[in-house]
Amino acid sequence: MTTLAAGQPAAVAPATRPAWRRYATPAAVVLVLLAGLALSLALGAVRIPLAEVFATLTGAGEGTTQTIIMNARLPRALVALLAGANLAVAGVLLQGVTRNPLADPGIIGVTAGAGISATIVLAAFPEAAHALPLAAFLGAMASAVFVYAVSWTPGGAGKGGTSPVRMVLAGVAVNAILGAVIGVLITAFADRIPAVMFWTAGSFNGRGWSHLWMVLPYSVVGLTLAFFLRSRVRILELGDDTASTMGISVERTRLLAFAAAALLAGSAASVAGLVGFVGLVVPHLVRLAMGSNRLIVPVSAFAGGALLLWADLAARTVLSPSELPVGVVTGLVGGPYFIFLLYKSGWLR
Amino acid sequence: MTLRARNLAIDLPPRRVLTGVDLTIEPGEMIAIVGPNGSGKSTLLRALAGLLRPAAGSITLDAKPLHRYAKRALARRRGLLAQSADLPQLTTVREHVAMGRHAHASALASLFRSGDQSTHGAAIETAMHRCGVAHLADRRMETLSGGERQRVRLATTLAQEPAYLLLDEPLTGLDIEHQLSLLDLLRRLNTDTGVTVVCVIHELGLALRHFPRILAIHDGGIAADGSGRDVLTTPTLRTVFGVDGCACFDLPDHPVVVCKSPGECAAGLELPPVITPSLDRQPIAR
Repeated sequence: MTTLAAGQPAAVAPATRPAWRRYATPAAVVLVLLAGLALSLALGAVRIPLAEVFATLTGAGEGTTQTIIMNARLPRALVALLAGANLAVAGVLLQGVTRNPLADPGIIGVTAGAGISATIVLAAFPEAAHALPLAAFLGAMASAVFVYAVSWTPGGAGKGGTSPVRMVLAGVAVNAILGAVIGVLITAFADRIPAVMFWTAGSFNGRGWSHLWMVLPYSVVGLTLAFFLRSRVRILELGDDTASTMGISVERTRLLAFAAAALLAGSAASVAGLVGFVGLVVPHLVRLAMGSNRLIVPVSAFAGGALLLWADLAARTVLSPSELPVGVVTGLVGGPYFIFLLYKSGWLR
Repeated sequence: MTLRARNLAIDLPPRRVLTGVDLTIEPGEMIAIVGPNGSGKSTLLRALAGLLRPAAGSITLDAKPLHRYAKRALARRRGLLAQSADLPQLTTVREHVAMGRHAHASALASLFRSGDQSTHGAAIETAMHRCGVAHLADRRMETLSGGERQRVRLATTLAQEPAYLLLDEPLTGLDIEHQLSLLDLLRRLNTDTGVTVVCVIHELGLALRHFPRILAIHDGGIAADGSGRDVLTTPTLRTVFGVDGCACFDLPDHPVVVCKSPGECAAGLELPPVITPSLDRQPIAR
């Protein structure tokens, strides 16, 4: 046994880490998030010293500074934070439920559903732009329901149900159909292409308290569901038969996780547009950093929030006064960092 | 915990896979289910696990139909080692085994349990020790060999503390040494804890050696049921498996073997390699 251990040190090394390492990542993520929040309130066209930011937040602010922070930067930062948290947790749920590491909110049609209803509003009814978030949310929900319905088959001796593979395939089909329809729409309304493209790339430009109140209830419901479902979703990874004989209601768990992911991703899309990358990659970033699936839901929520906070900060400051789509930033910065992490962890070697 | 099937029929559209199955499994029995591919072995096992609803007839556990049990209540009484081996991501052995405790956690506690730490430490440690994987507790599943993974999956099922244990071809993909040590482990579990073991298995020789009772399934029904001597007769081998052969029980110094033709073992020639599991040896060498 000793010779074996000496021959294969890497394989025998325990996978668990010292206690402090387990909490180092969550602590770091929270710190990064708080720093991003502070800087989001301080930086912009008008620079506000951090001392004044804190004064404003504690109710001692005054004048323009207070208006800028309380009416523009704070709600915008909170919307970005919630959208990021929602997308990341939706990714965790969907990757578990579909047993597919490539799953993200796009895979269940939520993204395409939000995209098509937003395109319809932006292209055909530009005067109804105030209804855009609601339309995008409804489109996302309709599309998710459709994907779930398509992936459902009535069973014989087993009860009827969905399967991870059917869910993914139905999502791919719906994405293809809706993508084609979006293509037709922007061809027909060619003059509206810039507006559609900008929304599609994602942005928090002009997001305020009304957007926050729109996304908040769905976030609360979705994140709470995700927290309660997380151990069941992990047991689902053992396979349907095994999970079922362990006492899990497989279809109910799958439906609830699917619904929670749809609420989270749909509400995020309604206020942020189509921000890619977060839902797919944040769960992997967290797993790579933590080396386990412990605390994956809360840490992913904080990490997703932090990522979009920083991305939005970069989007509105780097090329100031013009503003980049936030999805461009997440892709440009997050993509290479993800490759770096994959390389470091040995997945790409 | 008497498990009883009465005139059981199971449909997996478009066809009826099992018909007219009558079967009584008493507590503490150790049963092998054998039969050709597609005969309905796995379907019978999944039906006994309560995963399939009977199209006709019934399956009862202590006189109560399986589907009338609450999911979690049933999970505390029977465990299934399924055939597919889905590997959860980034999971240590202890976390994997802990998942088996789901049905024992109170509904409220299970909401807050993250699957890795739990109040069920003792049951988890016992299950890991029984299966000889305690020394692997902190290893990740993906770093284990196939044989070790199978033991961990068995430990996860044992963590449910089931009264009866169903295994669907648990030897698939294991080398002969690991096959034998897994069967030894099942036998010891059966003797030590009294757990009922029902196991779908392809190797007739191993079934004969390790299981006092054998069910031969053919065309969705039970073709023979009884001890190895009663079941694996030359006529049964022919009708069920479509081979001419015989099981030899009386060769001195040889375990039970299944030969190609009745004359072969009488002649004592060209026996398949003799398989002698050293039962006294610790099956978990590493």
